[in-house]
Amino acid sequence: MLEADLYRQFRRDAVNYFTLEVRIRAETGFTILFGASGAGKSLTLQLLAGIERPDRGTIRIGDETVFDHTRHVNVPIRRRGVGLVFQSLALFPHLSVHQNVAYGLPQLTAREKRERTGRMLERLKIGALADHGTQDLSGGEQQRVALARALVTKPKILLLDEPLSALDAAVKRSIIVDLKQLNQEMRIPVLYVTHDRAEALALGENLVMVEAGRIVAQGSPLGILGHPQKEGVANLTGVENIFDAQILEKHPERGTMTCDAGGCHLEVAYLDWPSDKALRIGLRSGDILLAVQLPEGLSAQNVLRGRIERVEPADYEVQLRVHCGRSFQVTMTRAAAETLRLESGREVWLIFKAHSCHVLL
Amino acid sequence: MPIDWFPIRLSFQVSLLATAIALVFGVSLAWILARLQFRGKEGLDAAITLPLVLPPTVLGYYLLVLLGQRSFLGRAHEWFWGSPLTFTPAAAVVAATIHALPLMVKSVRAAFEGIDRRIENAARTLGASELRVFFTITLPLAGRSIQAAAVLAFARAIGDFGVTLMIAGNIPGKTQTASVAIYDAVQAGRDSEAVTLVLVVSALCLVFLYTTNKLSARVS
Repeated sequence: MLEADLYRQFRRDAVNYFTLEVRIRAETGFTILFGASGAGKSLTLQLLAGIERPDRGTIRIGDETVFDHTRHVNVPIRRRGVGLVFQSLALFPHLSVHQNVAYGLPQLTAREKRERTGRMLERLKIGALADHGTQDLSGGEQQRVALARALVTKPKILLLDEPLSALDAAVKRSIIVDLKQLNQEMRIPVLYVTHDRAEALALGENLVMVEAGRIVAQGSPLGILGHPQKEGVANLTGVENIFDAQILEKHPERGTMTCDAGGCHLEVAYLDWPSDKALRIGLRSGDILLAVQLPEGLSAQNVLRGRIERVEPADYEVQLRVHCGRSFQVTMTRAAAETLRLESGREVWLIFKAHSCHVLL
Repeated sequence: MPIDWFPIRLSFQVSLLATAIALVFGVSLAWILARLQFRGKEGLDAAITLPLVLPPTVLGYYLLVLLGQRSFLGRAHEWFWGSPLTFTPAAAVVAATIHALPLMVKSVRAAFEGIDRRIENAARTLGASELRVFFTITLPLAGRSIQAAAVLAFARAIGDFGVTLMIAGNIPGKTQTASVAIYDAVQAGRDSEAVTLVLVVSALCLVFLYTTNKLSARVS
């Protein structure tokens, strides 16, 4: 159980240039701290761990108050019972893997240390590396060592600062699987900082979105990332098509509104919105379907004819730019792109539901 | 030609002691300067660096005033140890240390500042006290630099001439270090004595350097 009320201001020459003000409550399980770089996520973790000190506020970890500025309580880092995995991992370069993991267990005998670390390393699938130096490990292996080191001390809470950002997709997935299993066993609050939507959706039980030092949204990951209500959130959560539109006609009986999006007309789900006010619409590239011939019998209200401008393959997906009066970004699996034999210049139809057009506030 | 080993022995004894003192105080001061913030910090840094910048005879003069028989410190020393500080082997140690210390502080401070704070913080999150962080993380990671600084400090200590001459004097068999003995022999025209001393000291220093390198290579 973690409860924290944090306030920290950074000033330079009497000018305030960053203020962090967040209230967090985390139960056991994964709480994702989501946001762009510089939003204040890492700072939040540092304040919780005791590396940085809040100007005012309180922090309760478990049933202990580790910080309370009104009562002058400030428990030092080493007594807070916090497990922390830095973005840079911060492994001890002069110690072996085993020594790194055993560092937090000075009170045990040598044999007990070997047993405890051995079990944790096995658990994280790196048992064979116990006596290796940390420098010659791969990124994924180093990450597992850092996790093992933090977890073996049975901390009360676990703070992970973008632990997977430097790893490739396959390694990430494998560690995410392990993290989820560990979560089932350990049952402590885990605060997981990331700006990656996929990680947040894969791991999160609860999501807190941070922007410019403040919490702007809180709730289930799918709820917040799936239906972005604010443009800031939309930008972060992979809504690649954001544009302004003007309402042309409302059809309340049909549940739609026809909008002019500058070059094409869209059907958007009906909203009680003043007709003279411009709309800002967000449309996720993964929500757009593509057809190589004019489709029939669809429920989708938006079927737009256009031409492929650009095809960009990525790791497991293909990004396309399609011009339909205006330029749209479309994402699909490589299988899909290959089946349809898509290439630049081809005439296609874009298909998406009225409900996929999110009105951003 | 028979060698008077006294100056050579004295030089080594004095320099080893000076290096040891410089190690203990130098590492501590380096840590204070690298890790703590306080008013007058840069003033402390300047005071420590001063001996490197002042001309030897100027520094020697100041030390005479500070530690001589008529000074407070000089008299305190005489009261405590039964003999004055100046013109004794102890003064030679002071002269050697006063140059070894700033060299040590500068190098070790840079080494400490080069250590990633996050590594030290990681150790703290794992329950380590400040003392444990210092001995198990900070010191080992700065180890190489400290070794190198110690060798440098020793070399500087054994080579000291001006300040040693001024506050320890040139008393054969008592305070005459190797550098001073060489000077003395050259001045008096005792060339073969001078040459012998020079060659012996050079050889010993090379052996010392070689041994230290070997030791640190094995440790790493």
